[in-house]
Amino acid sequence: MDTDLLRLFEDSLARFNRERYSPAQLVARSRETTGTGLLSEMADMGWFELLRGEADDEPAASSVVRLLPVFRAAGEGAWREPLACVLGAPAVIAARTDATAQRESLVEGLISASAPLAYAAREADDGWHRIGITTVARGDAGGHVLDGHKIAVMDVASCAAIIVLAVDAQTRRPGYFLVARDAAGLERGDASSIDGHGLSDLKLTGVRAEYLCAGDHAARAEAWDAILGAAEAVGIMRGANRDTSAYLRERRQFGRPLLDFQVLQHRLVEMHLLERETDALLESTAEAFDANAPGLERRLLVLRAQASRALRQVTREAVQMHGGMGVTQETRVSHYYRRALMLDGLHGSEEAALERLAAA
Amino acid sequence: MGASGLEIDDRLDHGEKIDDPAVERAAAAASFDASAFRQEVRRFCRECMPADIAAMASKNQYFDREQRVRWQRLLADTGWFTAHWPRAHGGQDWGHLQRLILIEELERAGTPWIAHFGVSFIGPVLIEFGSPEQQQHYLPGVINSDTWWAQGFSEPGAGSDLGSLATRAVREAGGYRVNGQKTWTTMAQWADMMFCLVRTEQTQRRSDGISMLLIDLKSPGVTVRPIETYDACHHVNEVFLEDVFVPAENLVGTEGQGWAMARFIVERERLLVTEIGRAHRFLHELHALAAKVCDGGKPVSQSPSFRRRAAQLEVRYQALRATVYAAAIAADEGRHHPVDPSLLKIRGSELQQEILDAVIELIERSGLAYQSTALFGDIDGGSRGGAHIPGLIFDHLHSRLTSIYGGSNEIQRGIIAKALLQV
Repeated sequence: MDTDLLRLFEDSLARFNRERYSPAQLVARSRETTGTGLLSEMADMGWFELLRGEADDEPAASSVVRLLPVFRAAGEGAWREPLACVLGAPAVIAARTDATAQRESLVEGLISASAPLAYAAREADDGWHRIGITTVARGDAGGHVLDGHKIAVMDVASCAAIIVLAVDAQTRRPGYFLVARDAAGLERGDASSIDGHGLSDLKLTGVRAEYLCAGDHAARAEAWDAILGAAEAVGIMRGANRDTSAYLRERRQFGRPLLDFQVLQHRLVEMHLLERETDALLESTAEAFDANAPGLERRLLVLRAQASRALRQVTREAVQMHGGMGVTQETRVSHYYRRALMLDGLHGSEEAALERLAAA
Repeated sequence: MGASGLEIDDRLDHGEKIDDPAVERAAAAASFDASAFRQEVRRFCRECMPADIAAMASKNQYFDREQRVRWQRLLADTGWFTAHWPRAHGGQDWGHLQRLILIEELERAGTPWIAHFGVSFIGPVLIEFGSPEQQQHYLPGVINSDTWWAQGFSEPGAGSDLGSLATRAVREAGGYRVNGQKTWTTMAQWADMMFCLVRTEQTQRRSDGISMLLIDLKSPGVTVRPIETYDACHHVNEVFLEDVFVPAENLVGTEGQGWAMARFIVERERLLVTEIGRAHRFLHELHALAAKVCDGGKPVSQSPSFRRRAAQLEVRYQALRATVYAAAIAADEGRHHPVDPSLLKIRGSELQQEILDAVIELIERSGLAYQSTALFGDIDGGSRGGAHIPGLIFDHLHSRLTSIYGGSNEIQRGIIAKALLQV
C-alpha cells in the first residue's frame, strides 16, 4: 500500500473509532453478549478485502503488513468483534486449503464476514506450545472423523464452522479439519472470557470433519496471529496513552492538574516510549514475516516479549494513573487492561518468550 | 525437588517455633506467647470456620453480608474481634503485635475479610472522640456486627487529595442539612450507617473545616448507587446526599475535628494495610498452580525462570514481613517511625500485585474465563481451570486497586519524601 493510500485507510479507521466506538458506545456494547457485532459493517467498508492476494497468483492471507492498521484500530477502539475469526489464523488455514473450490468458498466467507471461522488448536497441557496433539482424525469412506478435546476456543458461537488441528490416526501427521458448528458428536462447554468474548471447551466424539490442509501451516498461522496480536497491543497502548494524557490534563489534585507533577510526566513518557519502540519492532517483524526472511522464529519471540512487556506496563500504569476510575466499566482503560491480559493468554507472556529465547 | 506451596510454608514457618526471637521477646513483654497464640488462631480457623464458609474460602469465592457477619460474630465470641479496644469498652488492650498476628493468620486461612469500617475505624474513633451516649448507642452494634458501617470519605473531586472534599453540612435547628456526593464507598449497599467527613466551615486551611457525622443511610435524601467495576462484582458505590437531615447528636467530637479523626484511623491501621497474610496465601496459590499448570506438557514449576521469579517474590515477602513485624514492635514500644505506614502501604500493595501478576500468567494459558456468577458458585472445565480460578482472577483485578485506595502509592511516596528528605 503506498503512503497516501495508507493514510486514507488509517483516517477511515480513526473515523470509525470516533463514530462507532466512542467510550460510551463501547460500554453499551460490552453489556451485550458477543455476537458478530459490527463485523458485517466492517466487511461492507471493504477492510477484509485486504486478505486477498495483491497479484493474481498470490494466495490470500499472504501479507500480514497490510492488516496491521486494522488491528491497531481494533486495539485502540477496544473492539469486541471476533476479528481474529475473520483475519487471524483461520484466514491463513482457509487460504491454504488444498481443494480449490472449498478454499475459495472459505476465503470469500471470511472477506464478506458471512462465515467467520473459529480456531481450535490448543489442548489442556499445551500452554503456548503445540507439542503433543491428542485429537485424532480417522479417515473413512465419507471423509474424516475426529475424537479429542480442545480448550480455549474463542467465539465459536459467532462462527459458521470450526477449524480443528488434529493428528492422523495412522500417519501421526498433523492436519487441519473443518467441523460444522453444530456437528453431531460435538459437545461445547461455553464460558465468557475476561474481556467478554466467547470461550469454549470442545469435546469431539466421532465428529464428521473435512480435511483442509497439512498441519505444517500451524507455525505460520500462529505467528500470523501473534503479529496481529502485537498490532492490537500497539493500538491499545496508543489509546491508553492518549486517554491517560487527557485524564492527567483534566484531573486536578492539590489545586493543579495532575500533569503538572514531573514524576507523572516521566511515567507517561515511559509509556510513550514503549508504544513507539513496540510499533517499530512490529513493522520490521511483520515485513520480515511477509518476506519470509531468515531468523524469523527468533524475531517473533523478540516481538512477543516486547509487546507483552510493553502492553502490560502501559495498561497497568494507565489504570493506576486513572485512580479508581481506571477500574470502572465506563472508562476505556479498564477494557484495555482486560484485553491486555487476554492477549498474553492468547499469544504468550513475556516470561514464556524470554525463556524460549534464552534456551534457543 | 520442586518448591511446592507446602514446602514454602514449612520453610517460612521454621516448623513449630514459628516466630523470630525479637517477636517472641516483644510478645512476652506484652504477656503473651506469640507462637502459641498463632497456633491457637490456626486451630480456630481450622476447626471453627463454618463448612460453607470454609468451602468458599478454599475456592477464593466472594462472601455475602450474612456470611461475613456470621464469621465476625464467631470471632467476637472468642473475644478477638475487639481485643485491640480498651478493656473499658469490651476489649483486651491488645497492642499492634498481637493484632497483627491475628490478622495475618486469619488472612492466611482465607477467612472472610473483616470489614474494618466498624470494628477498626468507627469503633476506635468513638472510643477516642465520641460522647458517652454515642459510645453506648453504637459500640454494641459494632461488637456484635448488627450494624454494618460504611466509610464516607472519598468524593468525585477528592480521593487521595481528601482535603478538597466538598460535601457540605449546614447547621439548622436540631442538626445539620447535608448535601454532596461520596464515592468508592465499599459495601455501602449492605450498610446501615455511614461515618462521613463533611465540610462544616470554609476555612483558610482546607483541613480545618472538616467534621465527622454519623449518617443513617435510611434517611430521606440518601441514594446508594452501584459503581460498575471491571471485575463485574458489586462492591463499591456512589452515595448521594440530597438535603439529608442529620441530628446534632450525630456529630462526633466537635466541629473541625474530622481531619484529626481521619488521621487517627490511618495511623492506627497502618500495619493491617500490609496484608501480609494475603500475600502468603497468594504465594501458596502460585506454587500450587505452577505444579499443576503445564506448558509444553511439563509443569511450569519445573521451569528455572519460574522458580527464579518465585524466589524473588519470596525474598520480597520475607523483607516485607520482617518490616511489618519490626514496625508493630516499634509502635507498641511507642517508637513511631513516620515513614512506616506509607512504606507498608506501598510495599504491601506492590507485593500483592506482583504475586497476582505471576498467578494470572499461569491462569491465562487456559483462556481466562471469567463471569461474576462464577465467584458465587461452581464452574469447572479445561478453559476454566478449576473452581477456584475465577476467584483468583477477581483477586488479580482487585489487586490493581490496592495501590490506589486509602491514599495512592504516589501520595504515599510524597509523604515519605516529606518525612525523609524534609522537602
